Amino acid sequence: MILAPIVFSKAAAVFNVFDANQNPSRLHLLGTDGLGRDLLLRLAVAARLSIGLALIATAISAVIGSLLGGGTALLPPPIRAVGLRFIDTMLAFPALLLAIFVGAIIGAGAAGATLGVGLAGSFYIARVASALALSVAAREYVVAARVLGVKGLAQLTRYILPNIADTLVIVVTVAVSNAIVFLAALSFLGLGVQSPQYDWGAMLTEGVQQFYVTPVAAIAPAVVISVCALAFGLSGEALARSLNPLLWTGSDSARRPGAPVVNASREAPATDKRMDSKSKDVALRVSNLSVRIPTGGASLDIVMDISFSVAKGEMLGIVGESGSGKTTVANAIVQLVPYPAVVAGTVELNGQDLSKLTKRDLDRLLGTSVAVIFQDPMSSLNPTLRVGVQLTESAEVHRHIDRGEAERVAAGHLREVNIAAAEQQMERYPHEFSGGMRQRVMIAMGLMNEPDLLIADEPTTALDVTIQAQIMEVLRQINRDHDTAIVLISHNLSLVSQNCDRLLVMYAGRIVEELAITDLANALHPYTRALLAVVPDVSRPPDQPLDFIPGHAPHLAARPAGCAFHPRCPLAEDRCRIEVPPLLTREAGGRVACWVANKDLSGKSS
Amino acid sequence: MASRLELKDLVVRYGSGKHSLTAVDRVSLEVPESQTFGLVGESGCGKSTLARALVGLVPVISGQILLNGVDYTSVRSRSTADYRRRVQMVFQDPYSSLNPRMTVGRAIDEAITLRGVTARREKRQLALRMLDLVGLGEPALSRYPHQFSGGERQRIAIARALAVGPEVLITDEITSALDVSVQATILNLLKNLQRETACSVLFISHDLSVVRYMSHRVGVMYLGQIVEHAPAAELFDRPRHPYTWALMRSIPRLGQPHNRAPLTGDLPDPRRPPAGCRFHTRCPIGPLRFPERTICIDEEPRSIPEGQEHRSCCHFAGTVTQAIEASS
Repeated sequence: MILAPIVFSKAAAVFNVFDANQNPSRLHLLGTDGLGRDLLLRLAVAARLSIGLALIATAISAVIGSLLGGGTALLPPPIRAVGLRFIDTMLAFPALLLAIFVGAIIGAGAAGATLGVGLAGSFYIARVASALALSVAAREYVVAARVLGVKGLAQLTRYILPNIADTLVIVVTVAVSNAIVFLAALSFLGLGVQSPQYDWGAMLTEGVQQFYVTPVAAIAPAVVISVCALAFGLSGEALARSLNPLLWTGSDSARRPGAPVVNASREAPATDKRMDSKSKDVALRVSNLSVRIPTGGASLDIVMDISFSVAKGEMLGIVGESGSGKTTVANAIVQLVPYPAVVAGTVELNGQDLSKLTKRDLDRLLGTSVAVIFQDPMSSLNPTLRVGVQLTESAEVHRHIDRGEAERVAAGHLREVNIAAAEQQMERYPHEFSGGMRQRVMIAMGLMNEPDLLIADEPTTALDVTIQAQIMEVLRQINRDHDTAIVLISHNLSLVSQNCDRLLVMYAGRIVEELAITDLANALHPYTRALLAVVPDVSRPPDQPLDFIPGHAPHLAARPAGCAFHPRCPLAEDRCRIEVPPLLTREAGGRVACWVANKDLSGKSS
Repeated sequence: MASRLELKDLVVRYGSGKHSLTAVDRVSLEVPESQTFGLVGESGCGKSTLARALVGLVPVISGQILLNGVDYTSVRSRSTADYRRRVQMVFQDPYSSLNPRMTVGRAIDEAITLRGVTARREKRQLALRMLDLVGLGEPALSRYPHQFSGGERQRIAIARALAVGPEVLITDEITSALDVSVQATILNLLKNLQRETACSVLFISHDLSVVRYMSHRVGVMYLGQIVEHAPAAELFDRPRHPYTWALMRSIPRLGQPHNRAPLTGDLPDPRRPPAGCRFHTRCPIGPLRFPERTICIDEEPRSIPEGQEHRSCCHFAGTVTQAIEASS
């Protein structure tokens, strides 16, 4: 493309009037034009001018557009509004018209056309850039830079532009293809490149005049213009990827190749009297539950071989740090694990194996016997429906009761979760409630079908402590009054210890310990003990440094071999680094997965 | 001892007219030299707005901000390089407070440049010292934020703020985005750094146990006002305001039976704070419980000193424990 004009320009200029307007032949693959010049050669020569001008025009658009757009986003709000309206107004003009206008002022010719197209394209880029920049400018790192005293232009070039660059690049490459088309159009209209220079647009003009004699002369430039425009559009995405360091520098922990894991999945069945809920009514039994995400190479194991049960009227706490898999367990129970993930193992609700149910029975069982409360109640409430409608909806469907009856039940449950003036509250929309109220509405909604199991996944994490205390009181009351089994998932060990009967501790996708809350002081697993030590406590004397667990929780893609906790464990031995410790039942009750803690047992069981 | 940072009757308001929100309402506090003032309160109480006002992100309506006795109340004066060098801030979420497209080295280098150091060798030495202070090594310089864990990122954010060499450091919920096992390392680090750099710290958090550990003095905020402040030990041992008492009763404690929720009702709309005492709609010793206490609805309580250091804004300050015990 770059060399073509040098190599072919002479040959492309050779004319032979006798060969004029030839159709394609072996000598002239695409035929000849009105002066008998070879079309293929002329197309190749014109490429440099066409693409070159388009690139220059786009460069003009990109520079003006990103500075105008990005800069506008950084202006103080009242001036910013004016700037944005200006960009919008300019954008409302058809770009081609604007280009013709500018071209006409400067004068027909390559320079005028390029400048015109460049300027016309810049407003589109400015609009996109300002929208992107506005969203980035609100991010904390830009605020942090402002606090640091980073100046306006540096904010734009170091913070805003690099972070919108990948999207902007795609927009710009699309602009190149637009510019090619616009420039061709201007030439076609006679406002662009002037003879004796020629670009694809000019060739198209000439070709169209001979359309009925040699259609190729018009079709060929048109095809080249389209293909070229498409190619630029597609190459943008690849370029954008190369600009994003997140894509080419992997997370450190993720990059470390995981050593082969010796999997000792000999999870002891829960046979212990205190731990086993067989004797009582079991609300939930989870057996050998695993969740993995198949990826390109090795699959990511999120949850591995987890078994536990919850009795009717029991409150079970699941504690773990971020990435421990505790939320995935909750989602797997209610069959809500998102698509690419693969779930193995069985979940039994009231003795019914969920995998054996038909889709319809499953929906009914999940709709009537399980309720889930999530951390963020706003995201689980429909903002456009009155709370009353949302409360009564599922009861009408699943319990076949009429509207009035459902409303009476709903009001009763709202009162139960301490919402005053329940009837009036049902007329309101979710956004009219505070966070604590919304969470209470969610709980009331969960109660509508009188579930046997309530799963509360970090139900109070987004709430204040005084509200948290109120919500926990409501949950305890439900547990007591309706004998509802509750699974409380939380990162807060103190909260779980004060409200639950039993505790599961998860680390890196596995249960590492299960014990009764009353046995908390005798926890055996080093991770549980470490967690107990780091729990913040007001009564701790402030002159001693706080205890902490060295290192950090492992990345899922780079789970350490053997016991996943071994790199942070003060007791780790050689065996811990190689073999995964099995979860064994202790005589005193509870289960522990630790080679060191189970030393007295391992002789017997293996 | 000269106090480093002093606020007098500071008011910060968003919007105007009917829909205006007075996020910070006549707040006065002092952060003494090389000490930590802990500011505790629930979401929407105005503690983050106060922090943002102090670093010049939000204008102040009235009141004064004094730094070593010099007035910095106008937003303009808080936007100067001089003020930036003296007052720095660490944000809550280390996942969003670091530019994902900037290496750690460049981020720290930028802060050092703003300090006024320009010689390349000196800058590099200073950058390495900062990383060393927060327990990270030289390899960190050429990496991007996403290559670090949450705790490490927060260390980087702290190193960057300290690289400016501030006299006052404001930290806004710096551990609430981190796992408990990592939280403590950041708190220990900050405490050591304060001893080493002798900077004053305004430590903002919703977590009382964390505030207790970090602070010399503590202020408790409710709906834009400081309702009680006292030396940390004094405040936690003998809370005089019913809100402080309720906050402490609400924290779940390991190995102790749960309390009954000490408060009923929700936080009122901060746009329309209740008349009289703002806490009266939820107060366990207010008119909800004792209908004869109409003074709480009619009259805004003044800040009453108890001894030299302990102040609380309550008509019935110091009676909460007896009142609750007597009635239960």
